[in-house]
Amino acid sequence: MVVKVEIRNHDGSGRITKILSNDKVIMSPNLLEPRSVPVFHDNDLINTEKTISDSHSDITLGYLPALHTFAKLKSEQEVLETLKSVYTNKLQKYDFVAFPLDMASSLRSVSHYPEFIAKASQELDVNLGWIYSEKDAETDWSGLNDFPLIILGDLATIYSNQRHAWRFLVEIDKKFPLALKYAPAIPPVLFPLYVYLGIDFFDSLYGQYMAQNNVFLDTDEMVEISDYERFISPCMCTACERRSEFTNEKQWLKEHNQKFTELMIRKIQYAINQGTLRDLVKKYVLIDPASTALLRIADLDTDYDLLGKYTPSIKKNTLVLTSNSDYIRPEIKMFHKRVKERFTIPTWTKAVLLIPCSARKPYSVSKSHRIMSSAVKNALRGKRHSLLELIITSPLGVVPRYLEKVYPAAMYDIPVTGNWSELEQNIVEDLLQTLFSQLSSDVPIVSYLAEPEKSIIKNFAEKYPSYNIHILDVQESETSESDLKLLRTHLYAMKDTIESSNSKNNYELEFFKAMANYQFGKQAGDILFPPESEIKRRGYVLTAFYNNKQIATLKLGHLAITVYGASKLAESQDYYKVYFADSEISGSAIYTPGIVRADQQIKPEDDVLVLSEKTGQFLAIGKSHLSGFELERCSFGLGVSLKKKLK
Amino acid sequence: MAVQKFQFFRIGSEIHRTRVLGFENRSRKEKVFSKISETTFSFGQGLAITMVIPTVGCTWALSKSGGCSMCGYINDSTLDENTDPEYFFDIEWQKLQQDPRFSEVKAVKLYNSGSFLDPKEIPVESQKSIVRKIAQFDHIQEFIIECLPEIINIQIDVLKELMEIFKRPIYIGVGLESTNTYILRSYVNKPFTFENQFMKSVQNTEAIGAHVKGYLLLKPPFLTEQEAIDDAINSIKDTFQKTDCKIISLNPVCVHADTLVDMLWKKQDYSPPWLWSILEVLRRSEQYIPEGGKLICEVMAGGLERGPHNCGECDARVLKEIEYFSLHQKFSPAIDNLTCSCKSDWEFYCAQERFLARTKPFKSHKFKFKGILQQI
Repeated sequence: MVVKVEIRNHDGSGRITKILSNDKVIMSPNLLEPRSVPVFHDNDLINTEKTISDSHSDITLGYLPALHTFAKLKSEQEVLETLKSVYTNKLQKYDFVAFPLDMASSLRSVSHYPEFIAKASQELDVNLGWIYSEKDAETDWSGLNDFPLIILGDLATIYSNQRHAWRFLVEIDKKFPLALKYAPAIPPVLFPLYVYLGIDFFDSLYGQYMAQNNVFLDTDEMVEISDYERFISPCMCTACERRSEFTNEKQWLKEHNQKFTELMIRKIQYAINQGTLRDLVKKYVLIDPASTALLRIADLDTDYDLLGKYTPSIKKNTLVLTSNSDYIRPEIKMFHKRVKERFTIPTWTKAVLLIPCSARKPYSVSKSHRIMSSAVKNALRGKRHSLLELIITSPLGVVPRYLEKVYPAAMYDIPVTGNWSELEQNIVEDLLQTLFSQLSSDVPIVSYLAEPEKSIIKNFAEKYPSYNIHILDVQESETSESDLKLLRTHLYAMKDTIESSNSKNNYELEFFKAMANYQFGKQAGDILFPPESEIKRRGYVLTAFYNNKQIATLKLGHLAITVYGASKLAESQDYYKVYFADSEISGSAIYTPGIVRADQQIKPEDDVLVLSEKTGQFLAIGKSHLSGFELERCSFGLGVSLKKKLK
Repeated sequence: MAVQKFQFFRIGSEIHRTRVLGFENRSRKEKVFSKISETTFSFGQGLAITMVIPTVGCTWALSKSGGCSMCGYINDSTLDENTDPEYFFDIEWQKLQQDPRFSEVKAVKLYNSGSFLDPKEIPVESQKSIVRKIAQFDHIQEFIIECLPEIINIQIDVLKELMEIFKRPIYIGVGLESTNTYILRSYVNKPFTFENQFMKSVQNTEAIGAHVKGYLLLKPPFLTEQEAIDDAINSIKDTFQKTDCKIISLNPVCVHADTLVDMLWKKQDYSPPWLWSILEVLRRSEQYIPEGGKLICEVMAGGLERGPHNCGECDARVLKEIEYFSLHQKFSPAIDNLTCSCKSDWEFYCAQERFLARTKPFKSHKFKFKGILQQI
């Protein structure tokens, strides 16, 4: 059987895969049922096959008999031959088949083992998995097929040393980037975290072991039942509802733990589809210091961005940022990175205004921003189009007005307490420093912020005295009459220092350019929107035209470019390109087998330019379903949904 | 890609390292003792002398391979080539003759933490001299020693001479441990296999009127509990059915200091077998015991951390059952009432242990709930 694995959805390293094996469809994340394959090649050998009375999942993993049962065979070749001749038919009933663990592997070099497995995976017609332990770091596993099943038995035990666990997961991702991963004996409350870090399969072992030892599993806590009669279950699952129908209490407890385990899987599948896996993880890591630590280590690792490379760049839900872990989550880090690397302050900027954020997003729609906007217009009149507004907020740090509609700036929510932590302050400082370094030192920077943001800017100004920062002493709030008067007065006084005024068209065009840069890289804005481009407004929708051809439409969270605009982009820069094997496309999507190569910086949900590998011609604009790496390497499943093809 | 020969894994280098560390770190104290106690022999019960005399040490353990992975008896030896075992024998033998029960003793068990017949450990002349001294007493009807099978085969002529001196049965305990070649070579690290040296040694001894007593190990390292049970039953079956060996002693592993098993045990990569496993092996092997054969089991360090144990509450009762079986070759009627809550735990572990896919077994025989999220 050849297993066909299709990655359907991503959130962080977590993904939903659809596995087609022998006409059976398996979705991951899911629970596996491990089984022992009986010894068939030696009828004299005593081999106890424990029948498992309660089978929990219909996805089975058969472990081949232990190495010592093949003692009578003299060479690896003979073992392979025995497996082929005796076992092939018997193995068809298992969805996956794995070699057993070499228990003495810690004491010998396993240099011959991967070769054996590679040969076996070629010769045996099964979905082969193998056990990868920490001691296997030194061996060379290249040459094994993509999408095997890797069994990470050690993960359950190294969890207590989180740096160790993280290094192990990174090592696995480097060696087997697309593999299906199975971690046995993991507590169900840790399933979300581990799925987020890349594990696809779990099992019922933990729940059953705990039931065996009278421990009741629940989301909030685990309880050891000392007296079954007095224990009232805090759960309404189907097992607990029919508790009296079980033959004994232990059976009930086993069934309840099993239901709880299955519930976690269901929640995770749902969350990935909704794009909220990270939020599920956020809630569950709070149960336990070790998991909180592991998540933090994963977020803070700058060398290996396991989470970021698969996190979609646009999600449909509002991003709710309520805990410390949210400040370093991949979506926020992506925003910081793109602002630093892809946002250019327009050259005609003559002054900078720092203003606070608003509850309503995008900011310009909110009442406070409209009031401030009106004050600015009042003071600067036509010259206001040379003003760069920077919104100071946490945890995004600094949002340039031109980027207020990108994801997540247009769709996030935070608790506002009037307190800024040191981490939050550092984020603001870091971004301001990067942005201001683009300005010449005489450009006036006006801060119109109340406390506590005012002090943050004060600290910044003391740290970097070379910048021309004026801090307005906002007393009450940014919308109070007296403070607005302060703003108007100051700006009016500054008006004459601004020599020429920028055109409104340029100003409005900058929104398009900034978003294009944010999505496609630094030069995209200039390529798509030369200065002669026009902006047309239809109701609340802004569209950009060049030579009477529509280039792009500004939407919430996203700049939608037309196929004409995309073709211009394709001619002049090399980013976000996906090369399709054929010279033409038919249909509304391209699938991964047809993709020859793709830009590695592509993330799921990014807009991509589809070109033909054969002719080099631009074919269509589409939305990528997967990361660039997966587009190239996967051989099954949807790659890019096409939005519009070039006629 | 060339397919390499299935290299039997030789863990000798690792064992050797542990041995050397053990030799350096432990203060050496050779073990000498003797006692008279009640035991079972081939023909029934009675008093026997058990003697342990030191020699330079087991040749296999002192070799570059490091010896067997679970055996710590080398620590009872002197490591001094000039040791004269007969000297120690004489001292103990004098002491024993002073004991009033000496005249009722029916058998002598002489253990030298190695191979009796190995001339490097006990010189041939000393071997003969010792046997002569024992042979003087008519009430002693059996002489029990231990030896490696290849040494039996090499020294078969000396054994014949000893038989001529003693004129009564000599039983030689052979540490067979398992009949599975892979386990012998890779996990226990024995220099022989069941098919070649052991079977030949049984044939050779039976031919001259001596007998081989097989020692089988329950749970060598690197096996899960269920695999260990299966291997023990398999070995018992093979030994009884393929050789003329009539007595098998089942030895569950207890963790000796300064052995490879000790090193694994400290890292929690090895846990000693459950007492339920011993019962299981005995129960399922009963059918293979031939006419006139015996399957005995003497548990060392039963109920302790380093030895075979259960949860702590039922240990004493189960040990008693095992003792009963050794004596009577069947279970007592009380076996049906022998239950404990830990038995279902043991069944769970046996069924699920290999699905953990790691070297560390489940945490411990007695589960302690910590009230917080804990690993298993």
